Amino acid sequence: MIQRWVYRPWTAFALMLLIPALVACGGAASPHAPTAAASLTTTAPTSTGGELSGQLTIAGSSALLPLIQEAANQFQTKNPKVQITVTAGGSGAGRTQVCEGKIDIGNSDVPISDAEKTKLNCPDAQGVAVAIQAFDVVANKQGPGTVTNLTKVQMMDIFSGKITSWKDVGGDDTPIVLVNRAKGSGTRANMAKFLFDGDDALFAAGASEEDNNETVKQTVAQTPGAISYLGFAYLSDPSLLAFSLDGVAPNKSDIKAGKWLIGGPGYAITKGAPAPLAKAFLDFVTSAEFQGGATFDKLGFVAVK
Amino acid sequence: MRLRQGVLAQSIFFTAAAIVAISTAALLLFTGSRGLAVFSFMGPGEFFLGTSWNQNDQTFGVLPLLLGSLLTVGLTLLISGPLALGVAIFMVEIAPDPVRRVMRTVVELFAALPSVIYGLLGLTLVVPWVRVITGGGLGKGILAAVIVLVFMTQPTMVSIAEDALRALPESLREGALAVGATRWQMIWRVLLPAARPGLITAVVLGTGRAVGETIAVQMVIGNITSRLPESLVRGATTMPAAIVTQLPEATSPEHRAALIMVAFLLLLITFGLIAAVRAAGAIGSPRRPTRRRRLTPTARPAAAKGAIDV
Amino acid sequence: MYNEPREARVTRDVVWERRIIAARRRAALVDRAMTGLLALAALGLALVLSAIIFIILRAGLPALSWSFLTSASSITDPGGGIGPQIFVSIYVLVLSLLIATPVGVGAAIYLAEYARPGPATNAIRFSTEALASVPSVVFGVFGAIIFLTTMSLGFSVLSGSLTLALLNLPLMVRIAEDAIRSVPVAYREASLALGASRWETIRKAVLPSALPGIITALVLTGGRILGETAPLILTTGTTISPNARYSLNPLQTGETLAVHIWVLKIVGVPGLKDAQLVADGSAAVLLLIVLLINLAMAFFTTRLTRRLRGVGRAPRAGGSKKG
Repeated sequence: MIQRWVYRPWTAFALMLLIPALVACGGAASPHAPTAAASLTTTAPTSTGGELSGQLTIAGSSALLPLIQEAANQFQTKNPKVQITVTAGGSGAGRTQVCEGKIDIGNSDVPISDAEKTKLNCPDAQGVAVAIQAFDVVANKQGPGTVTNLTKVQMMDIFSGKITSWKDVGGDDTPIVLVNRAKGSGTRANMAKFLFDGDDALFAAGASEEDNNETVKQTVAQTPGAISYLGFAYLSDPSLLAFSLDGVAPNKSDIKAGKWLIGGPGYAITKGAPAPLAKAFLDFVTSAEFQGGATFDKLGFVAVK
Repeated sequence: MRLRQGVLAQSIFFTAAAIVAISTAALLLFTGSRGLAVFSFMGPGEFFLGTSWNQNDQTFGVLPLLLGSLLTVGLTLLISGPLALGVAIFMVEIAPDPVRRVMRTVVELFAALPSVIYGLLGLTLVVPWVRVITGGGLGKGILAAVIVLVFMTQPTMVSIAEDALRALPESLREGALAVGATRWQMIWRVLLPAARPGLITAVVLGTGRAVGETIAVQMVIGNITSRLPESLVRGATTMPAAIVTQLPEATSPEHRAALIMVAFLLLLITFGLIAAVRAAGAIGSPRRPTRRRRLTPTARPAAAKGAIDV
Repeated sequence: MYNEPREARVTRDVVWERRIIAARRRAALVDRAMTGLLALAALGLALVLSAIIFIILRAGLPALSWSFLTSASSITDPGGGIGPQIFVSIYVLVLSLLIATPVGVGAAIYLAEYARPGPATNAIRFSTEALASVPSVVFGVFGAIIFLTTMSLGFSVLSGSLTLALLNLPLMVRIAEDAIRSVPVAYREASLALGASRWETIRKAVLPSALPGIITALVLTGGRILGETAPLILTTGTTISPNARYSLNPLQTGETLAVHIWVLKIVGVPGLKDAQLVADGSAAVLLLIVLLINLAMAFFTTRLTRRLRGVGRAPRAGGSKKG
């Protein structure tokens, strides 16, 4: 005969909560460390037949995003047991998160500097160049008028706020609406390197600090008089006007020939030597097959070799 | 046998109810503890009084977010409150039956629309319109967010206000009309004061919805956290918008803790609003003691004789 | 007053009457003006809603086609679709309801049938009310803390479903409790008089009669789940791996339809040339689903109520609007 108090709702409830709680805590505690590690790092590929499996998390530069996303798609088609997540967030966020161990690979438009390695406490960070990127200054079609070419000095003056109207560069009488990127952006860093020799403080405050290339593209496309800068993969929007720089047109042949001055390699950064799955992916991205494939052409990147 | 089954059933249901209670406690506990961890990285003064929230400089002053939320919600209330009141009055007092049914369906549909659709329309309609009106600039900002929020808070406010007005006894209306008031006089001088607790509830709950609205606001407000809101048409931010933009890509433990702290503040503000509703409900309802009426000269002798009640 | 000469009294009465007539005329004018104003406001609101539905459908319907609804989209080529996103939406919906319904209905049954006034019941009621007012983004943060990190579920459908279940728990409890309470006492009394135990009464007399209301709760909650974006961004993620499309693994990341719209406009999918079209199409699909749910619910509750209970009124679903 079970005692009466067992039947009381309180006791039954306590029992019912206690058991799952114990199971959860016990179950979570032991695999907690390895599962946490497993979800952050990659699992080793099985040795038989070299079939890869596991999960990869990649984040960072929005300029590199289309390239890495397409590479991830192709890689996953070849290796059905692999799952790769690619998001943006900015080159700065990419470098920080990979050093924290939150993601496996961080995409960045600029290499990770020694100062940053010390500050983020990952002295063994390694970067692999995955593509040559180009950036260009773009504007809304309303404003520049017939101007399609800007000199470097004009660009410097516009972005530092000295020129505030399109008519000062030969366009219509429309005020210039400066759309900037947030400070962690590698795209912005590349522009600062070209315009101001890396002195980011010379950028004017601007109308906004957009989060990534896509919002910049949309904002510039919709705002008359707007001007900003984008990675090449985003220049295809017909409502944008991509400027020539000192007479050099923004097309692939000029980039390949080295005539285009704004840009540089884009990097995939890992904390220390990449784990096997990450290494396999990076090998694929830098392979001749992918670098010479149709994606590079379609998206506007230049092969790294 | 039946007894055991019955008690087992009761225990299971009690567990279910307790899960709800525990979840609330857990919500407060976890958000609070992870959020308050931010003060191990920076002092409360720096956090609450800092005027710049910039994840690239690792400075996390919450004032831009607080002020943005305050401005947005305040302006929304100013416009949306009277509007909702007017629509509710129309639905309860003025509209004929078929119109009332149509309006109610409309309000319910409004409530069911996902906020991302409001945000999409905000981006495609409201932002360009603001841009045209203010003659340039981005168009994104507090003004655009307020316009979108006004429409989003309507269903909540209208339905609660409508319930409050409908709950008033018919005798109030009949009494007012009997002494010769027009319909508007009846509404303005009798019904609205009588329904005040319910109307205040409607407004406060609508405010709660506006404070917590995330996606629609985030899509049109421009998301500038690095400075205090400069104007209604330049980029700004609100607390929920900042959280949803930055949490998935938090750049450091400080960043993460700061964002969770903002979520905790949001939680406290919402609970505060609910407490305000309960307080307002308590203030409105106790009956005022009946006062002695002032007698006309003709009535005095009659009252003295006890023929009329005083 | 009685001592005034007759002429003075008459003049005073006339002045008063004129003032009263003027005041009445003013009041009538104000009445008509306010009526007009309020009618304008209400009709304006109705017009805006119709305009919203019209605009979204007009922009999105051209994009709809069977292939749009079933195929996936690629990054580099236009002409993709939202098939995987729809699948993830349904998956999250079903999982959330599976988790929320037993707990919500169970809590409602407890509150309506078993609860005795006391500190425990007060605590439960208070927390249900409090939980109902919490903004969805805070649930997202909570889910990110507990399910993502502490339980190591990562960005997954499971994290998102648990978070959404929690979010909708108060709504479900409230509507279900209303439904159960609105069952006439006579049903319970009759059942008990026939010798049934309390549990049997609930099971056989109360619950079937409260079923329309409970189904209302389910459908309303479902509608809300389909539209939620912020909590899912923080717990389920914004991408679908190509190898995990249509996969039933609850630990994979996913992107529901609502989140997909947000991603297309805010995060951007560069290289997708027809991103605007896909966004419009997704919005149209979402809108249609929500409209359908509301219409179906309005239709079925009246019919179900009439069948299960005679002529009773269905419990009004007022819970969804209260915060």
